[in-house]
Amino acid sequence: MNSPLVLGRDAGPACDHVAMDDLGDVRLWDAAQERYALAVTGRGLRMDVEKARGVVRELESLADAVAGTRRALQFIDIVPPASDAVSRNIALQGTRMIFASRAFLASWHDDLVSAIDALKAQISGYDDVDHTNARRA
Amino acid sequence: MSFVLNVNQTLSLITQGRDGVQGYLEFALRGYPAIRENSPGESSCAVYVGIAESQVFVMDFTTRSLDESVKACDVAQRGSEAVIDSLSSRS
Repeated sequence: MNSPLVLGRDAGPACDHVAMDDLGDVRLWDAAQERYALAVTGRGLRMDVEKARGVVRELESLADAVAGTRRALQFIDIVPPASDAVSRNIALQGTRMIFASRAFLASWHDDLVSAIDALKAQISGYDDVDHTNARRA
Repeated sequence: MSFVLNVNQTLSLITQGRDGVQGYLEFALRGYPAIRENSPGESSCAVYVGIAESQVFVMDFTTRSLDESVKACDVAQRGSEAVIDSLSSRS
C-alpha cells in the first residue's frame, strides 16, 4: 500500500508498465522531512537514479537489437529468378521492401538513441542538483 | 561497425530502388561508385561500394549516441576508404 507521500513503487523491474495512479520512479515527497529542505520548499520531485540508469541500460540493449536486425537485412540478396521483366521487377520490389524495412529500423534506432541521450542528460542534471543540495544541507 | 562483402550483387538494384533508400546519396569513393544510406538522425549509416562488376561491400556504422562529435556517415566512409586502400595495396 502506498503512503500518501510516496506514490511510486520501490521494487520491480525498471520498465514495467506504469498505471495511471502509479508515478513509478518519479515520486512526490515532503521536502520538509528531507535534507533537501534548504534547497526547495514545500514539495519536491525525486527521481530514482539507479532505476533510471537501469532504463538506460535496457534502452541501449534494445537499440543494439534493433541495429543488429537492421544489419542482418544486408545479408539478403534478392536475385531475379530469370532475366525477363517480371523476374527483374520481383527482385527490385523485394530490394525496395528490404530498404524500407531498414529505414523503419534506422528511424526507430534514432528515436531510441535520442531517448537514451535525453535520459542520460536528465540523470546527469539530477545528480548535479543532488550534489549541490547535499553541500548546502 | 560491420563489414559485409556481397558477391553476385550490383549497385544497380539499389539505384533502381533509390526512392526506398533513406538518405540516398550517390558519390565516388577513391574512384569507385558508392551509395550512402543513412537515418535522419544519423545514428546509423551504411556505405555501399561497388568494387567490381558483381561485387559490393557494405560498411555499416551504428552509434548509441547522437553526439555531434561522432557522425555515423563520416565513420562509415572512412572505414570504406580504409578497405579500398587495403585492397589497392594488395593488388
